[in-house]
Amino acid sequence: MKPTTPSKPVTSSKPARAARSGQRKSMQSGFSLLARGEPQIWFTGGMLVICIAMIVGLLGLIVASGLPTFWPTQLDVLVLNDGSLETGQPQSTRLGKPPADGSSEPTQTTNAAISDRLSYYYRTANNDLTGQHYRWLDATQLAASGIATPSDALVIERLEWGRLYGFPLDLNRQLSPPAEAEAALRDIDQVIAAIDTVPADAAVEATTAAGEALANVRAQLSERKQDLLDIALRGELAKATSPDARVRTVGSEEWQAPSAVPADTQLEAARQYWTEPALVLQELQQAVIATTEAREELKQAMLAISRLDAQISRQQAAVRRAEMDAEQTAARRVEDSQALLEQVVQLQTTASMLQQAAEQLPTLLGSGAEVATAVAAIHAYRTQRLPEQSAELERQLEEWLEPIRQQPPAIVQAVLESQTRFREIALAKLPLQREVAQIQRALEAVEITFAVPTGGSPLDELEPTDLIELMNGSFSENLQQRLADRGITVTPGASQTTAIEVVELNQHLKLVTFRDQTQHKHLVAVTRGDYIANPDAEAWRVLLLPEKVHSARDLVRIVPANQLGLSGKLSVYFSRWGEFLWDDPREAGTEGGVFPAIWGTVVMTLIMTIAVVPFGVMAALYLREYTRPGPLVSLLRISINNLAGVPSIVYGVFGFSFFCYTIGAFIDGGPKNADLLALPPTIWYVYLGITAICGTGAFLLSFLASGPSHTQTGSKRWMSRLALVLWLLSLAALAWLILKSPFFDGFYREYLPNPTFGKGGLLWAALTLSLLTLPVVIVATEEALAAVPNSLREGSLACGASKWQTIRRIILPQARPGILTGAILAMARGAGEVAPLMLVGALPLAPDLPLDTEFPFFHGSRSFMHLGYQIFTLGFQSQNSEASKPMVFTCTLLLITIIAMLNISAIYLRARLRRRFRGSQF
Amino acid sequence: MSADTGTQTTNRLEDIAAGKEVAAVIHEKVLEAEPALQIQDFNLWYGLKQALHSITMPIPRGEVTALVGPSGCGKSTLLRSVNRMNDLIDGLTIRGDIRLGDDSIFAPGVDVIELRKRMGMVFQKPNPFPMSIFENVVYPLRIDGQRDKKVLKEVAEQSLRGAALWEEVRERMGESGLGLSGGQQQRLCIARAIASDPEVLLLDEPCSALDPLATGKIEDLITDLRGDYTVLIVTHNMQQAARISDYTAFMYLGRLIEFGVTSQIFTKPYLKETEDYVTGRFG
Repeated sequence: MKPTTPSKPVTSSKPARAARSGQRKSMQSGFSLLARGEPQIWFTGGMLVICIAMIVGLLGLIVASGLPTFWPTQLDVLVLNDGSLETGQPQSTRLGKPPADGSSEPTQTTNAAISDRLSYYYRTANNDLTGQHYRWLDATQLAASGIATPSDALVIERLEWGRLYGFPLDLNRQLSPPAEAEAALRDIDQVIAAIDTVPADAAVEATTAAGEALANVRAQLSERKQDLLDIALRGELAKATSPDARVRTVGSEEWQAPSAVPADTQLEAARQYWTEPALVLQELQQAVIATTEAREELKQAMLAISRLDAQISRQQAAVRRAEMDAEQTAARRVEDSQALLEQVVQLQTTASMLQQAAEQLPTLLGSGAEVATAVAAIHAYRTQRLPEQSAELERQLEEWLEPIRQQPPAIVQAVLESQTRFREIALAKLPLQREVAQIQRALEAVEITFAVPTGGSPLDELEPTDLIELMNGSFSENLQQRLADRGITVTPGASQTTAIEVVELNQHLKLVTFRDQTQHKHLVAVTRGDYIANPDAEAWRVLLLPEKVHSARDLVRIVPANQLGLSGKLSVYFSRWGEFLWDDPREAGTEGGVFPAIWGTVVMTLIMTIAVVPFGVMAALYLREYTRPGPLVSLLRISINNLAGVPSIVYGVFGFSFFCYTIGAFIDGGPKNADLLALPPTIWYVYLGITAICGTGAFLLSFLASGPSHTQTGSKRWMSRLALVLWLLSLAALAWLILKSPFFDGFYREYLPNPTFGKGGLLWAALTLSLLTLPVVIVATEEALAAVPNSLREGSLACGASKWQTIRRIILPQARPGILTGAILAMARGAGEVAPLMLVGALPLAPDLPLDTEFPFFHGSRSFMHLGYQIFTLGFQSQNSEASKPMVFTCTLLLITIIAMLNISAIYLRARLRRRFRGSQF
Repeated sequence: MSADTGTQTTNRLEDIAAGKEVAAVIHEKVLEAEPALQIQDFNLWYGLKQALHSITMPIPRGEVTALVGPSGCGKSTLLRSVNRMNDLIDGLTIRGDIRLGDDSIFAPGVDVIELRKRMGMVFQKPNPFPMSIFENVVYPLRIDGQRDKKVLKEVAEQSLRGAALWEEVRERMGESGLGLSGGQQQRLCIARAIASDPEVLLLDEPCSALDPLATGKIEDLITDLRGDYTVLIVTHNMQQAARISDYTAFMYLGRLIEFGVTSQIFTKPYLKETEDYVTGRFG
């Protein structure tokens, strides 16, 4: 920074230069913070840091609260001071207020005082027993060191009532016989079922001998079935007791009657069961996994049935529609006929069953005289009584059809066709229904009993001696009496069967299991509540723990929370995430998955983007490329920008009243249904003519007025304005005429008064949101268009391209990244919007996806679930907002992730487009 | 029209600035040449401001005509009027006529798009489209709906050869036109302008954004193009005008001052004002 001295001094400029260099020197030597802009750098940088900190903080909070939701935590059994029990998974700890009595000195800050003031937050679950999900427990409420983490304790996730915490007591499994036996058994079952359909009077009517023969045959079959079962079961048990499959012996295994399995086997199993918890768990989990698969099958079968039902309702709608066309409302008729038809189908099935039974009987029971009589009776019933009944039903159907036969042939055709379809569908439904029943039976075959260490009813008036006796493996008279009061009978002598086991968890808690007379297992807990506080007091208590029986179909997952290693925890964690992402919601969304909500969010956002981008781009193109700037355009632009600031609920109200109640109702049932008075046909035609003339005039005028601006004379300018007005008028008139058409009765009138499109749905929600995000797209696109250099437009026009060619080939490709930016912004705004969705179609629970195998495959009229709305309902609308709090955070995390993923894919697309012609740039 | 040569005593430029009407001086040799374009008493207003004052000049066919004059004298406006690029500007009023061959370009039935196809135009700043080199060149054919690959390839090669760019880009026709150097980009624009085989080539200061080397190449190219095309070039560079043009027109404040054969304009123009300008004593 050496001041430059002129090589050739010029006298006249010397003083000035000297002055300047002097000035520069002074600037160098002085140090001015402001001049260097340092405080501004710090200030602006500081603001940036604050912004980043807020964003990171927000994301951090959501991630930190959302991610651990599914992490399996330990399961504690707590002994309270009053000797009662509580079970829970610890959630958090807080420092409570100092004791309110004020007796403690304020300066006391010892560790003991602080630990006394701690409150523990526990997820206590067992909602069906206690009515709560979470509980705060003060340190003073807890017996000191009265917390145990028993390794047997299980966290059981259920389909209903949320989680259950408990100890496994019994597993009752109805064994399923081997496959070959199963087939034979099924045959027998079918024949018995067929015989059962023969009414007693029909048999008696034939001959008494025939009736007796039938009854005897039935008894023989039942016997045979029992034999087969026994054989099958023995085979099964033989296999089960072999050492390599020891796991299968766990639990008491019964077939129908508990006495079917010898007691000693049961006991052996029971002993093993309690002493080897790992085996118990394995067995339980296998049962749950098996039922999960069965549940999936059940779901499929139910789905198939509901699909058939949907077909039936469509047939009904077709008939109703045909009748509506004939201006005869006889919707009830359809239902009557359906009932009749179902009876006909039932008769047909019975007949075929009887025929099968008649064929199978001799092979099952040999060809005795009795069998022959029974077969004859069956045959008689099948060939005489059944056809009579069938004919009667057919006659009723004919009667029902009679008035319809007077109608035009098209309607008769429709009704007859739908009748045929009814028969087919009803026939197809029967095996499915049988399958459903079978699966349901299989699902209920496994029953698990849990003891729930919560509360518990104390067995009062016990003496310490009773306790000592209990610990020694026998029951005192007193204790027997107390148990008998609660309906549990124990046989004191048979210590083998009562089999008392004592597990000492800590000095405050012992668990004692025993079996009653009927071999059912029970659990009592011996607690010592304020043992430390009052060492002299005999504050022990004996609690009979409540029991809960669940068939395996109610259970989702059994987690041995206190036995899990890291890998076990991870597998539970990811399995819960998988359930969350892919399953339907349960328990009003507080449990289960959010897959329908994810689907709804993504699809709605995509439809919205597809709808909004073309409109926004067209509008922006017109504003930027075609209009001449003027007050009107400025006004338009200001209005568009203002639209971006309108509260979203306003759009919701608009979408609700316009899309659902006007357009939707119009689609459903024509102008009448949408409360728009249809015009009389003649007047409608007159208006149509006027509109046509208007449109033609607009076309001619705009054709005449076309040409470059500077050749336009005054009259041409007026002509073009008039043409624009006429265009608008004729378009509005056309829309009005469509809405007022007397010739349109709607596409879904046969379903009325149930609305199809005339209510909130996916399509309307997407369109409402696309209105909401339209300004974003328009503004972004306008900016992108403005950024296209004018030289490109000129270059293209100079090549002889028309305006549209220039736009399509040069301007739009150049502006595409900017337009995509607009689409990304719109997507981000739309995906996060909740308020309008509440009005136009999002529901807290709508597990049916708007996509299925029914034509037209995508049902835009159906309601849907949305993650944002899910968060709202979970957080603020659910019965127990405390219980759903973790899910709120998890859903938030998921929503953010989904929006981020949508945006990232759009940004990636944009980057690819940008690279396309920039690649070779140096 | 050339009656008062040399007898002028007052300064025309001052007269023009004062708002007086001054007739243009057009050399006889210009009038003898066969015109491709006829500008006849052409006036143009931007709103209320008149930018061109009754300009009458014939543009000789197959020759290079340079428009020179100080900034704001209306050279570019005149050039852009010829292919009606000024249509894009609002509040423009014109009077007078420009004829291409026998047709008036402002006649009511004229298709502007067809007109522009008959006139290639190259702008001050190279403006290749964000497409490949090949697509850039064949753009005029593409918008005509030409899809025959063979024809497109042929035209692209011809045009690029015509613009003296073929040898440099033949190996990378698929690369972006934006990846070329400034001079190459401008030659690409010229190739694009001649791809539709126009009658007239309008060059609006094509070398002002280029370095001397690239300028030299463009100038060589313009010299080569003479004969095939009628070239109308606007330039600020007197040497360039002298080097490449056959005829030179000197404009000032929206008026044509003198229009003649280049050698004459630069050596012994009829008007002192022209001499002052071309020798750099004014402007």
